[in-house]
Amino acid sequence: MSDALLEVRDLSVRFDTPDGVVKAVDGLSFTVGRGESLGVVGESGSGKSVTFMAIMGLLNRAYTDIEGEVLFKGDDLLTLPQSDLRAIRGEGIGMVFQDPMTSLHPLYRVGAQIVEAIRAHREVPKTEAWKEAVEILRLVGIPSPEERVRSYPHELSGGMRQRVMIAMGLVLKPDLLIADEPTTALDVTVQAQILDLIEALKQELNIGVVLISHSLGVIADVCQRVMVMYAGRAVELGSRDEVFLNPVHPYTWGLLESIPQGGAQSHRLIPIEGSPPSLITPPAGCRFHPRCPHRFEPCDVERPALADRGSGHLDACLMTSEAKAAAWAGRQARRNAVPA
Amino acid sequence: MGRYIIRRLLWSIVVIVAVTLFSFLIFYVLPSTDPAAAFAGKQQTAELKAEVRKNLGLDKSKPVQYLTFVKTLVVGDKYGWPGFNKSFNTRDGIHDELFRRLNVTLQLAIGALVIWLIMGVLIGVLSALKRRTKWDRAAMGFALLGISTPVFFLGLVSLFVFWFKLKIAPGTGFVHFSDNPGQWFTHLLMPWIVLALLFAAVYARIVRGSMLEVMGEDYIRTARAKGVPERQVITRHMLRASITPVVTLAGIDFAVLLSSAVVTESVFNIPGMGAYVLQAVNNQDLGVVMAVTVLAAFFVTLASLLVDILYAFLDPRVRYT
Amino acid sequence: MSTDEAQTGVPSAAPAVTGSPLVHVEHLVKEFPIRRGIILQRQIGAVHAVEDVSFDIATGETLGLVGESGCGKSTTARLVARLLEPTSGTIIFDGHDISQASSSEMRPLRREVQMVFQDPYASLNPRQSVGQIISAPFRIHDIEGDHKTMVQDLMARVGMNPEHYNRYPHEFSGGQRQRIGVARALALRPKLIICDEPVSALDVSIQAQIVNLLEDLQEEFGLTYLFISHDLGVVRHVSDRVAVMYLGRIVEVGTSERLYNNPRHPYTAALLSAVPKGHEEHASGVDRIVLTGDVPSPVNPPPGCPFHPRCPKARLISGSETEVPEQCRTAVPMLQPMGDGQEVACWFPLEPGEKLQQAATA
Repeated sequence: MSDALLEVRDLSVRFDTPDGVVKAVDGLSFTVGRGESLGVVGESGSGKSVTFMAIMGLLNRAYTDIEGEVLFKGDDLLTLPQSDLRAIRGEGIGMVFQDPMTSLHPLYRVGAQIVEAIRAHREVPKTEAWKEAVEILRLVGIPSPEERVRSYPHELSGGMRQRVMIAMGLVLKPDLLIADEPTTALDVTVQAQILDLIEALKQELNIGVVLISHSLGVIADVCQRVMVMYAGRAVELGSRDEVFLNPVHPYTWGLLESIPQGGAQSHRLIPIEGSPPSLITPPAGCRFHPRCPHRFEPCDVERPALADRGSGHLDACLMTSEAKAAAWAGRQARRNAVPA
Repeated sequence: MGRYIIRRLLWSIVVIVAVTLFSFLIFYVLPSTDPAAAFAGKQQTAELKAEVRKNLGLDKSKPVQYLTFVKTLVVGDKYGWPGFNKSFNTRDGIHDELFRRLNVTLQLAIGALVIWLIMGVLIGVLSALKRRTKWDRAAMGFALLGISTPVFFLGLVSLFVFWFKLKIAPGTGFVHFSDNPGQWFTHLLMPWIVLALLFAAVYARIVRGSMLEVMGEDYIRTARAKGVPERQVITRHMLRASITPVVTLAGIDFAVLLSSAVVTESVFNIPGMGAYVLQAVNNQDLGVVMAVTVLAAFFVTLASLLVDILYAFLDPRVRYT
Repeated sequence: MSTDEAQTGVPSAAPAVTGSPLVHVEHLVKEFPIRRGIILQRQIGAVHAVEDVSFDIATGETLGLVGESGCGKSTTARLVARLLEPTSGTIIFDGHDISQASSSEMRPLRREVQMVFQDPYASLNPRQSVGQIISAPFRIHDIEGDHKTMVQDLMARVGMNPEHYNRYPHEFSGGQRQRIGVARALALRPKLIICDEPVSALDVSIQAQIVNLLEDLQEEFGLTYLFISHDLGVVRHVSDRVAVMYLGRIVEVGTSERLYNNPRHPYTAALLSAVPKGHEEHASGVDRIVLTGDVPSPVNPPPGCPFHPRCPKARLISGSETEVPEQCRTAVPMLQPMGDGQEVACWFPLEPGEKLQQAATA
């Protein structure tokens, strides 16, 4: 049984821009436990990256308004003083970003960058820290780590750079690893290696992992629980099987129908009508309703709460369970009937 | 890396040779006036001119003249190494006077370099960090002022205000360090600042731009995500990445400064290379003009070479070209 | 004159020989020299981007080209479009040999081959309006007619509002910009459109819109596509046939169905197994084969079969982690027909029904 490492309650993030206030994240709640992987799926504008930048305190507070509670091992990260927050960054929570070529400093050796992470938190002599860097590179599967530790980022391949990023995120043995699109910039075969690595490390170090991606395939392969985000809100949250095999939100249905599926028959893709909404003037009520073929009376007025329909599988939609089941069945039938 | 340096070195040599060739062409081949006449002076007779021609080697063919010129340069003459021959004016060797003057100009230039770099970087960094606040606007206003105000104007105004009116600055002129260190300093202070101000202004803008670009980079976000203290993020990450173009520009600008501190030297009456060559131009002293041209070109080429090598040290990605 | 031509004024050329493929590529090679030297630059090596590639594209079909970075698919695309000159080999487009054609010889043929690029943000000139971008082909090839009407017609066909004729790229979303790119490619009613990762930079739901658009246009205008992507799912969906490339060579070719259900080349099998499928309804329970090592660089391709350093099957056959059969190590396998249009370049192709097994991990 996993104890909740990270508990987010009602998180809202708003940006002050010259065009207006961008309501990037609106009332988001979820948890992450030790030993589990939570996948966060969403397209551009869903707020998935912003959420975790806010949690880590990486947003510029000058024009950002953050509300809600973010409990990490009991402490509310949003109210912690900067120095305490900085101590947690790297040591309590490690982060891995999307593009390892631009996320690593081009002018320092990779060993030096890992050593910097270590010495930012612990009083360790340089020689000790360099040895630890070699060991963590070995752990993430980089061959000849004693030599590679002195390489510059541009001397390494994409896959190796991402391993270095992961090493840097884990070197201080944090309790939680947040990986923001860690494989998007990589080739498919390398992607497989990296995902396997993250899973293996999660088990070996018994940490919690958050995997953010726009690729449903990646999330489905690696994560036990999945949260689907749209326009700054969570629309569905449940176990991997529940969300992918028995989805209950029209947006999730739309996503699954947009993706070429395997199988004997190649169905015509059914895209979601329209485009993502403006976050400055988002739709009232349910933010997905303008694009939803099942919308009805209250959808443009009442905001659906992320509610448990009984089995621990949550969704934010006003349709009743029966209506949903019928709608989903109807869509599946329609899809199977449409030839490619 | 070694290959990179060797290639740059060879190109530098090519450039310097080209400079000597072009200088020779410009001063000895193209002009319609006869150098011998210039050397012989106002009252010249035909025999004097003929003798001068022989002495200066002007009776030989042009290519031979050029080669002799280069040989003298490389090997040296009786006045010292490198060989610059005689001044048309003093009829005496150029070498000693030139290097005396160079020494003085170097003192002026190096002092100005230090001041301009410190000012430029500090103002640029603060400006970038406090972007769009009143500090930023004030700094950029200062920059605009510095760039727009001609050096001679600034020099004269500062003399007027600080020396003539307020009487806190010493006047013009140069005092050798060995004679009186205190006065050496006070006499150079104003010229240093006046000369530095222009460059400081330009560099403040460059550093600001460079910093702003770096501040938005992904690796800065990574550094913060690792928990690196903000001060370290600014120095070891932002500054380190933005400083490379600045350093290389500064190298070249220094060489240019060295070769053209003419105006400042004139205003403040400092006996440097600039004043020397100005005098020579007025007197049609071809020997000095040639010497200073070649020396100046040499400095710029040397600076360019050093800067390229330095860049390769600072940015490991450059070493493969 | 077809009705389409009557409307647009763009004449449609008749194919040179009916029945022959639109594109025929034979033994295509492209090398980029690497020069090093202090004074004189000598060639010390080369990037073997494309090494002996041969394939056909029939009129009206979609050929998918897949592979990872460094496999040469983008270079191949640019060779077919003659944006690059081949080092050797033959390219025959619509009966014309364009392998060594000069730019003036290529000019009339340029109308028949167009490209849609990956990055909708970089492939449109930000200083030109949509109207200018789409009408550029008309101006370059001196097409007569009312350009504005023609452009607006195109915009409507790709699902955009014709009133936005005067807007600039930055005013549109990524998906809409890609539609502009498609409209531009379609302007001259080309025979072949080469799509180089056309949906990779787009959100999933927008990808579906663009994919559907491309399919609809193909049917409406009788287009032939060369579709390049690293996204195997999308390629499978749009392609009739798929070619898999590795280190500058084609290692397997076949219909989508055959390739995806019955891959014969170990690399194809590994590639397919690496694609995440957890979200698919029909995901089979096959364990993922994880290839060790990095995607190789085309600067120093290994001798023999390009895949042998990483091939799990070769290791299985030789029974050792480090040794591979001598054939694999020394001889380059050529594409051999396996029946039903499937061709494989492998000395020990997978048997039908054989599943690739992960070599015992060290």
